[in-house]
Amino acid sequence: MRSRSWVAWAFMAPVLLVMAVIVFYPLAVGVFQTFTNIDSTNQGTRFKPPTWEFVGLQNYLDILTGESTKFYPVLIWTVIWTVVNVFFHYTLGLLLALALNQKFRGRTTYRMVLLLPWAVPAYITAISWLFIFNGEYGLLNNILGVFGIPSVAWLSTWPWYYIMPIIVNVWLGIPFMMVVLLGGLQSIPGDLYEAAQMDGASPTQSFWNITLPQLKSVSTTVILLGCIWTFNIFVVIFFITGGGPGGKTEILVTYTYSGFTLGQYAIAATYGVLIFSLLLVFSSVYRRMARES
Amino acid sequence: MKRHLRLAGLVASVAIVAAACSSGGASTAPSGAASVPPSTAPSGGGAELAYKGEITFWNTQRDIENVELQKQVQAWQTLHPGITVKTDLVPFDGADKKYTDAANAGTAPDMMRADIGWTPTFADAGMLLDLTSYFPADFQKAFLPAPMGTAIYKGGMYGVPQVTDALGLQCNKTLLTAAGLTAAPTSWDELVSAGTKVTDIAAKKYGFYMNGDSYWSQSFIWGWGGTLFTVNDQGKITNIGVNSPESVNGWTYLKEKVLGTVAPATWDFKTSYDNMNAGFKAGTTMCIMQGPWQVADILKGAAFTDPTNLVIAPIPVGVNGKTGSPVGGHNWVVSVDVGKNADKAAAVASFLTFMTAPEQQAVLAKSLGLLPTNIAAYAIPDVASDPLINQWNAVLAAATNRSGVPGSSGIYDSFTKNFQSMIIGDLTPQAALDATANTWQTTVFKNQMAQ
Repeated sequence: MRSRSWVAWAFMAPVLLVMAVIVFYPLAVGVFQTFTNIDSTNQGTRFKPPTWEFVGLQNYLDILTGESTKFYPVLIWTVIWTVVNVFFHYTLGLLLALALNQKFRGRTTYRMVLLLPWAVPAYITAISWLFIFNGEYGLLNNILGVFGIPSVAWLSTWPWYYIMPIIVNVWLGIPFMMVVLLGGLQSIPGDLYEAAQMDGASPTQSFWNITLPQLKSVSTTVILLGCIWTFNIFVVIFFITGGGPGGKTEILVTYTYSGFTLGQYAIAATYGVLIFSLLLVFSSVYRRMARES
Repeated sequence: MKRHLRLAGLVASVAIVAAACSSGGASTAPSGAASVPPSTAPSGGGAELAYKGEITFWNTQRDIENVELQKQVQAWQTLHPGITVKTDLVPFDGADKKYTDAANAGTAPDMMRADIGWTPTFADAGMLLDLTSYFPADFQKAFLPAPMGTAIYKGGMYGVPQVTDALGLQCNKTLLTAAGLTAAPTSWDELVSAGTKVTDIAAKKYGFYMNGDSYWSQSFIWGWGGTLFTVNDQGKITNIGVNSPESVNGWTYLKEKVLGTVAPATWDFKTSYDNMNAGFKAGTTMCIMQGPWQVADILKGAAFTDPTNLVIAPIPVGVNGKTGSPVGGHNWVVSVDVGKNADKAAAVASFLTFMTAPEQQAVLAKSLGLLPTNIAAYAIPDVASDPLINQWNAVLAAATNRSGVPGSSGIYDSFTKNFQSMIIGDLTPQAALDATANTWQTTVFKNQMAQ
C-alpha cells in the first residue's frame, strides 16, 4: 500500500513539476495581483520603479458590487452561452454518434468528414464564418436575397448577435462530443441489447434504459469538459463579434482580456480568479452530483 | 486508498480548471536599469558613419506601403554600406502593447513607426530616446507644426513625424452628379438631402456609409461644437467634455437624420471598415469618411478607373459651421537604449533625416497618396501639381488636432463600445456619452485628472 503510493507520486512528479512552473506559479502571481492596484502605468519597469499598492479586497468589492464594471451582465450571458452550447454539442454529438455507430457503407469517410471542423484551427473556422455572416456582402445575405428577403446586419441586430456565435461554436464543438460518445457507444457490450431484444424492448426503450445509463460515465466527463471549455472559449467570440456590438456578447474571458489589453492588470487578474473560482465550485458540485446520482 | 483517489481527483480538476484559466499574468519585472542620458553626439550629415551592423525597425504599415518604403531603405543602405535596416512588419492593432512589453523586457527594436497617440504614452513611460540633441537646431522648423507637435513631450522631441493624415470626405463624382451636386457637400444637411436621391437601402445603394468606430464618430462631436477632453499645460485633464450637450446633439443628428436615411440604420461593425471601402470602390456608395492612407487602395476600385472620379473634401460642417476631422499620423520613434551607443544613435539620426527629407516624402506622396510632414515636400513639383494632395491640403487646414496626453489612445475602447450601443438603440446618445465620460474619468485618466 505505502510503497505503491510512493510509485504513483514518483510517476506524477515530472508532471507536477511542469505544472508548478507553468500553471501554479502564474496562478499564485495572479492571485497576489488581485489584492493590488497594479496596472500598466505603475507596474514598475526597468524605466520606472513600481508604485502600485495593496488595496485589499477592493477589486473584488468593485467587481461584485457592479461598481464601474459589467460583471453581472457578462456573467449571465456567459452562463447562457455555456448552457446553450453544451446542450447542442451533447445532443447533436450524440445523434451523430448513434448514426455512425450503425454499420453502413462509407462509414469511415463520414467519420473523417465529420471530424474536419475539429481538425481546422478554430480561428480559421471563425474567420470563414465571418465571410458568411458579413452584413453587406456575406454569403447568407446573398442567398436570402435570392428569395427576396432583405439583408440583415447579423452581428449588430438583436437577437442575431447572440445566435450567430452560438452557431459557430456548436459547429466547432460537435466533433469532439461525437468522437468521445462514439467511443463510449462502442464499449457498450452487445449482449445487453440482445437481452433487451429478447425481453421485447423497443429501440427507444433500449436507448433510454441501456445506451444512456451505459454512457453515463463518459457523458459526465465530456459535459464537464465541455462546460469548462465553452465557458472559456476565446477565439469564437473574439473573431466573430469581437465582444460587440457595444460589448453585449462579451463573455468573461474576452472581457478579462480587454481589461488586460487596456493595462488594468489587477482588475483582469481579479476576473481571472473569479472565473477560476466559479469553475472550481461548478466542477466540485457537478462531480459530487454525478457521483451521488 | 479511496482518500488518495479523491485527492488525486481534486488535484486533477484543479489542474484542468487552472490550465484553462491561466491565460497569462501581467509581466512584473522591476529591474533597476537606470536610463543613461543621451551623450550629445552631432549627427553625421553626409559623412561616413562609424556604426556598422544592424538597425532594427518595427513597421506598422500595410504591405502596399511597406513595399515603397523598402525602396527608400535600400537607397539609404547603398549610401551607407555596412549598415542594414532590418524591418519587421507588425500589425498596427495591438502594436503599442507589443512594443511596451518588448521595451520593458529590453528587447524593443531600435526604431518603430508609432501612432501619434502612442508617442506621449511611450515617452512618459521612459521608453523613448529624446532626439533633440541628435538633429540640427532648426530641424523641427522644417516640419508642419501640427504633426511635429505630436512628437514633442514635456519639451523633448521623442519622434520625427513620418506621415500626417486627417479624415476627409471622399466622394464619387458620378454619384454626386446623379444626386444633383456639382461638388462635395459642405454640410451634413446638404449631404443628407442630396444623398437620399441616390440611396436605396434595400438595394445596398447608399448616399453615405459609416465606420462603426468611435474615431469616425468624432466628426459628429466636433462638428457640433463638442470636445472630448481638455488638457492643461501640465498634461493633466481639467475637464471631460465628451458628454456635453453639443456632443449629444451631434450623435443625435447622426442617429436620427443620417442613419436609416442615406446610410443603413445599423450595420456590421466587425467588418464595417472593409465593407465601407468595398461599397465605395464598387460605386454603390456616394460618400465615405476616409483618410489618405486608403486612397491608393480606393483608386484600384471599379468606380475609380478614372481617378478624377474621386473627390476629396473637408468633412461636412455640423450645425454651427464647424468641420470636425481628427488629425492622425505616425512618428518614427527611437528606443531609449539606442542612446547608449553614440555611433548607432548617429546612424539612426542619419537614417531618419534621409527618410523624412522632402524628396523621399514626395515619392511616397506620389506613389501612395501619403501626406508629407516636411513642409518643403509640398513645394516639390510632383506633389504641388498632384490634384489629390491639393484636395487633402484643404482637409488638413480644417482638421482638428487631438490632445496628446499619455494614455489618451486608451479612450477609444469604451468610446467605441458606447457608440455601437447607441447605434443599435441600446443607449440614448446622452446615456452612451455619459457612460464614456464616466469610464474615462474612473479608468483611462484615473491618475491624470487635475485636482
